[in-house]
This record gives sequence, C-alpha cells and structure tokens, in this order.
Amino acid sequence: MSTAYPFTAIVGQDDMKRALTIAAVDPGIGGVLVLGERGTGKSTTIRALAALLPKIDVVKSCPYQCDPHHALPGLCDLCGKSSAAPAKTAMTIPVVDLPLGSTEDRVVGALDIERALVNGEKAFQPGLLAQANRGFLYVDEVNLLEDHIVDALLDVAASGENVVEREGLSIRHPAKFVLVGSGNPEEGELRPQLQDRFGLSVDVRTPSDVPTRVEIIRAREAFDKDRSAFRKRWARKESTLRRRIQRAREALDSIDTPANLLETAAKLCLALGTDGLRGELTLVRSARALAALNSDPIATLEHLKAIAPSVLRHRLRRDPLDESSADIRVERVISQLFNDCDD
Amino acid sequence: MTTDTPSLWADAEWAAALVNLIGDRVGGVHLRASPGPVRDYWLDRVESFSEQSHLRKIPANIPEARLLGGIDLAATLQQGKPIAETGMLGECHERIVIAAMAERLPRNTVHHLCVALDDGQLSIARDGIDTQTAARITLIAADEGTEEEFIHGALSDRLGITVNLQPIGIHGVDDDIFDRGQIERARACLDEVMLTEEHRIAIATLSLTLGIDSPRAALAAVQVARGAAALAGRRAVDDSDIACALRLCLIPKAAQLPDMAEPAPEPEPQPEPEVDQPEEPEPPQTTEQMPSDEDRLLEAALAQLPEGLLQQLQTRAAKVRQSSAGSSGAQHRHQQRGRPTGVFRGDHRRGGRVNILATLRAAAPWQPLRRRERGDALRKLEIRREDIHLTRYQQRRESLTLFVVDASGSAAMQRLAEAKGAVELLLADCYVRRDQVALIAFRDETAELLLAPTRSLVRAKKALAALPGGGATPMAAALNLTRDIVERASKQGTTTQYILLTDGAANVALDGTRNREAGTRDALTAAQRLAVQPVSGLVIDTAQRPQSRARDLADTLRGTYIALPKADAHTLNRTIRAVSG
Repeated sequence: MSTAYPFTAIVGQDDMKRALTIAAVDPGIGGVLVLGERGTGKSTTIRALAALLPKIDVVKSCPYQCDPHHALPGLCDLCGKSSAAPAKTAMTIPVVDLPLGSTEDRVVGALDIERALVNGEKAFQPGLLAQANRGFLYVDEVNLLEDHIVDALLDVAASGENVVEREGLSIRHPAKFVLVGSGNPEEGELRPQLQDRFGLSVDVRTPSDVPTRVEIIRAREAFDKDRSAFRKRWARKESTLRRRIQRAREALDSIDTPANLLETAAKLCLALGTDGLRGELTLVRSARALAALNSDPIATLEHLKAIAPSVLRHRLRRDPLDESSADIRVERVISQLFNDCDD
Repeated sequence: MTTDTPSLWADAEWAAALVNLIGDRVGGVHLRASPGPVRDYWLDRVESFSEQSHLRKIPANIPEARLLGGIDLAATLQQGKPIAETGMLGECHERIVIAAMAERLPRNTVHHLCVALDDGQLSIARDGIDTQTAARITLIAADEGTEEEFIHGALSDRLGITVNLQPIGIHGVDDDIFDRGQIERARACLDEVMLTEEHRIAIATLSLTLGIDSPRAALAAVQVARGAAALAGRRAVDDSDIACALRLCLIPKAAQLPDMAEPAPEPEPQPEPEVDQPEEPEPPQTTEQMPSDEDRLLEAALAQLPEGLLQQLQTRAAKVRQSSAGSSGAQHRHQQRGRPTGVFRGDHRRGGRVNILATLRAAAPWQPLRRRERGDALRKLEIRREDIHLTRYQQRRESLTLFVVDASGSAAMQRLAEAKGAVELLLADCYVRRDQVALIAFRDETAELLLAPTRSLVRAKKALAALPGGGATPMAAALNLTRDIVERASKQGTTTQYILLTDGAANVALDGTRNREAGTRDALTAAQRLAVQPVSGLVIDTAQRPQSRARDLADTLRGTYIALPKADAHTLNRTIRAVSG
C-alpha cells in the first residue's frame, strides 16, 4: 500500500504510536489493544504501521515466513526437516488484516480444494494465521468479532502454534504474531479472555484543542491533494523511525535489566492486584523495548514508568462498571510507588 | 452563491452537485428523507450530474457474501476449483452507490461499508477465497429513520455531507441550479482552490464549538468549502463557502448549539483576508481575534438557515447524543451470524450458505460411477442436487434486561442510591451473561428511556449515575413505556426481562394529573396490559418499610416480588437467574 498515510505524519496520539512501535520492537510483548471513539485515527495509524516496518529474512517460498537463522522449535515442519541451509529472501514484516465476516476456514486454514479435486491431493491451504506468522494480525472492531473466531485466535495467540484438525488434515504450524485490535468501547465489551491476551492497551481520544485540529485538517488536505508528494515529504522521518525500530530489534537482547526494575515491576503489580505473572513480564519486556528504542543500554525505572499505564490499564481486577477509573488507579499507584522509591 | 437565504432545496441541490464533485473525498451523503417524490427527484439530480447511467443500490438485507464477494457457486462447480465472485462493493469501485434503509443495516454491513470508505479497498477472507478488492465508493446512505431508529454512528461519521429532505414538500423543490458541465468545470479547477489559514482555524473552532468530537466532520467541511468555491467559479474559499460547509457538514452533526439567545457582539466588518496567497503553516497565535471570526461565520451560517430548522436540530441533537451508538445495528447484529455447528444436506435455493467442501466431498465417491453412467469421461466433475450441503448456524438468542427505576421523591433519595447500587450489581451479572441492557427512569410527569438497548455497560453506568431523583411517581407511564420496549424487542426475537425498582406508590395518572387514586388505577391497568406480554418481570420493593403496594403491583404484573432490604448481591442474582430461567 504505497498510498497509506505515513505513520510519522499522524498528529498527536503519541500513546498509540509508542505502543505500536514497542510491539514492533519486541513481538513477544503480546499485542496492542486500541480502544477509542470514532475518528481518533485508530485504523489509520495501525495501517500506517505496515508501511513502516523493517524487513526480515524469511525462508524462500515458505508459507509461514520461517526464520532461516533459527533452528527448531518455532519452524514449520518443512523448514524444520530440511538440513541444508535454506534459500532465504527478505520481506517486509507482514501486517495481515482479519476482516469481520471472515470464515473460520480462511482464518486457520483448510483443505486446498482445488488441489484435492484436480490432482487428488490432500494439501493444506494456509490461512490468515499462517500469513501473519512473525508479523502483525490486525482486527478492526475487535469487540464485534464472532465468538468462534475469537476462540480460534485465543488458543493460537497463547501457544504461538496453529493446530488444524479438520477435513482429514492434521497440520500444525508456527503462528506467532502480534495481535493488534481496535474498537469503540461504546459498541460492546471485549471478552475478558481476549482482552488478557493483549500486552499493551491504549485509550485514544479525539484531540479537542483548536491548534491540533487545524493541524489535522492541514495534514489531511496536503495528503489528499497529492498522496505521493506527501509521502515523499515524510519519507525521511519514516525511514528514520524504521531504522530506529530495526536497531532496537537488534539491540533488544543486550539491554541490561537491573534487579530493582524487576522488583519494582513486581511491587507495582502487587499493589494493583493484577492477576498472574503476565503483567510483570510484560512490564519488564516493554521497559526493555522502550530502552532499546531510545538507544539506552539499560532499562530504567523511567522506562517502566512511561510504559506502565499501557501495560496495566486492562489488567486491573475486573470491575466491569469501573472502566473509567482504570487509568487513574494505575497512575495513583505508580506515583505512590515511585515517591517511595525516591525517599 | 448569490442568494442570501438559500432555500432548503438549494442546499440539497448543492449537496447533489458536491457529492459528484468531491464525494470520494468526503465519503458521501447521509440522506435523511422519507421515500417519496422529493427523494426520488434528489437522487435523479445526483444521477444527472454523474457519469453513471444509474445509481446502484445496496439493499439493507444484502448477505455478506454478496456484499464482499465470495465463492461463485456455478463457476466453481463447473470448473472444479474455487472461483471467486466480486461482491457488490467491488463492483461499485469508483462509483456512487446508495445504501437503502441505512438505519436498518446490520452491524457487519456497516463495518464493511466503513472499511470501504476508509481504505478504498476490502480484504476478503471467506469460503476459501482470500483476496483484496478495490472498492473506493461514494456512499449515499438513505436514512428513513424515525424517532427510534438511527443510522449507525460509525457510518454517519464517515459521511461528510448531510442532506435533510424531510422538511421539504414537493412544492419546496425549486429550480435547478447546476448542470453537468458546471461540475466538470469545477472539477478541473478544484485542486487550485485556495483555503486560508483563517478559514481552516474557523472550521476547526466551529466544529469544536458545535460539540463535534470526531475530526472527520471538519475534514469534510474543508473539502466541501473548496468544492463550493469551485462550483461557484472562485479560486479561493470565501465566507459563503464556509457557510455552505457549515450547513452541509457541521451543523447537522452538532451535538450542542452555541447559545444564540444572547446577541453575539457585532464584529467589526473586517477586511477580507488576502485569499490568494497561501498561508505558511504557522501556529495560530491570534487567539483574541479567532472567536470573533468564528462567531461571525457561525452567525452568517445560522442566518442562512431556514426558520424552524434550528429548533428541529436542537431536539435532534439531544436525541442523537442519547443513542450515539445507534440502536438498530446492535439489535440486528446476530441475524446473519452465529457459530457454524455443522453441515447438513439441503437445498441451497431455500437459503443458507452452501458448504462447498462438504458438497464436493459428498460428490467425490460417485464421480467414476457418474462418468460411466453418462459415458462422458471428459467432464471432470459432476455435482447433483443431492450432493449440496449447507452450513448450519447456531444463533444465540439475544436477551435484554430492562431496568425500570423509580426516581421519584417517594422512593426517597437515600433509597435511590441503594437502588442504583442494586442495579449496578445486576449490571455486573448482565455483563457475565453478555445481555443487552436498557434503562427506563420515571419521575415527576413522565417516564423516559434513558438508555436504548445496548451491550455497553459503561454507558449504562453513566446513564445511571446521572439519574436525578425527586418528584411524583408516574407509574402508569413507566409501565406503558416498558411495554413498548418489550414489544419492540420481542419483534426482533429478543427475550426480555424487566426489573422494576419502585416502592409502588403511584400518584400520577396517565394524563399527567397528580392524583393518587387515578394514578393507582392507571398503573394497575397498565400493569395488566404488561402482564400479558411474554416477558418475565421482577419487582424490587425499594420502600423503607415494605408495604403491600409494591407486592400488589408485582402480583398484577405476574412478576416476582422481592424487597430490597433483603436483596444483597447473592439473593438478587439468584432471583434474577430463577426469573430468567
């Protein structure tokens, strides 16, 4: 999509942009949930991300984009078996759309009917989950997704592996993807199980000051007038950010994680009463990714503080009626905790 | 524009021209009109301006497979491999298309239209097809909506221009203003039209003043202002173009109207800003001057509005705010959906989705036999009617919990707080069961539907928190409104239960007079009527010391009675479960 709106040209919405960039740096964080009213640029931003992502090496003609530098596990059966060094090629990290109204066969994959009928072969036709391996899977209006598709997603998102047992097929293939969902909370609740799968969540609001609005109008006007010229104007910023993400991806493993960071993460989760370990792990991983993004060698409390609301907002002990105060609760505990640390 | 106060029809004519000129940049038109000659004539005008021979129409009940495209059954069976078929949105690429009965579109259809409007393309992943289709459409959403039904907010937000033909009678149709040649000429110079920074700021400020949250309206207003200037043959946007954009884009979407009772300070007649020189983008620092500019423009636009329209807008704005998410979409959400639970042999002409895989599998073993039978070895595949398999869907039955809350003075203020607490507990339970909820409150003279059926608990909670207390008890009105909602819900196949929180002290009659006797009598009549509805009810007595009044009411309603003092969370939940069976 060469005519997509440039990611860096999006006015405001820094929380959302940061969360998405972090997810691009460390896919293991577990995805981003973007909730907000209409007209906040949710889907524009997410689609803009696709044009920004760096390239990765993949095994040539592997339907699951296996990593040629990796060994088992995490490879598909074919790539896992081959002993020779595979031919590789570079491709942009895929961003796959999971449209509403998708049928299960196209999501998880199914029998390739053409080959079955023409050649009499029992072959697997990979679905969207296969295409999204090592990339992003984007669900717009995620709160309207049909339940049986959600069920399919939940399992795969947790295990990183898609197991297909249907139509006489018995296939398993890697399906590790960053799940990105967006939706308008006024239209319905997200299933709690699905909500838990997201590593980060952001609340987007429409900007309500005149200068920002004018800037939006101006940017959009310029974009509509001449899309390629507009993209060209932003190309430098785009490639700077792309390189930053690329560098951060490479630096991620070497980021230092001091012990006090782990401790603070644990304290924070304890104070907020979040369930399970996932919150802590995501906190630390996100802080590291943010450090890598800022070219800092060590993940510090500042990084943790910056990312904590996004990590914890949707993990608070669930009181379905107390939605609005989640942010405030997180911020209150953070400020308490960090004041204690300072003393 | 030369006329000082353009007639309603003139605005509509401008909109018809603009949708052809810049429809692809503003999404399209939200057309509010009853079916009839005026609407037909307006659509004729749109068509006469366009290069299309006729405008295609998307029916409200279009199946997803047809809208998006999917498998072409005939071709697939003939060729023995999946053949994709372009959906309606793909066929209408770069065209103007009408969505009929837009207020009744199912939520999924709304979503697909929104994606097409946003991206100009659709990704399709269904029935063995996995593809992208270009679908840059200009949509005219024909909204016949009445008081109760609204076009979905996600859709109206993406349609930049709003045309309201409802107040226009057949005699209100004026002379034509434009012809196709003018539109072509305007198209040629559209990109050269200048817009000054002042006008940009004015549009941004006005959209905020009018309480429009979404920036899309302002973006559309900019395009419309440019288009209007181009149509008028100008190379720069002037105030009349901004006024046109205000009338077509911003005012119809207004959630609040500025207080016009107070006479706006008469602004000094400012010299027109130099329009021909493009302004360098700079932060607007002229904040003192801005409001007057904005006032001037807003006043100019309002002065051009026909009389009576403002009031109409005011009442509508209130309503739109109330049900911003649109109620009809939510109610229709599950008509075409559900979990596929298997396949069965059936006739595809009677409806249902053919399951190609199962069909082919059923046909496979017979192929050698059939080939021999026909003596035709060339034909690859022969499918007979008995092979056809359809997918079976399990549709979940929607259920709605309707809260009817007595907020009158007799229900006592502190008890109201407790009642709110109880409702919140119940809401949490609805959340677990993924019920829809709705909220009716009654006090003083009337009962009011505070929250139309929704699945959003956040909104329910907000509506509840904002509920004031005090005044008389119009029980009869409340019960009648409950009956209306129940009837409407059951027409849509939704199972409803209502939970009435009251002390049972009715003292307002249906005609609004305060009279305990008449009030009680009317309430009992209303209760008897409600009792015959296929609905289960629960009466929670909120009286300080429960008396027989609420219990009698519950008996008349044939509902379950429970007194609030004993109604802790567990009791309440148990009772609700028992009632809802």
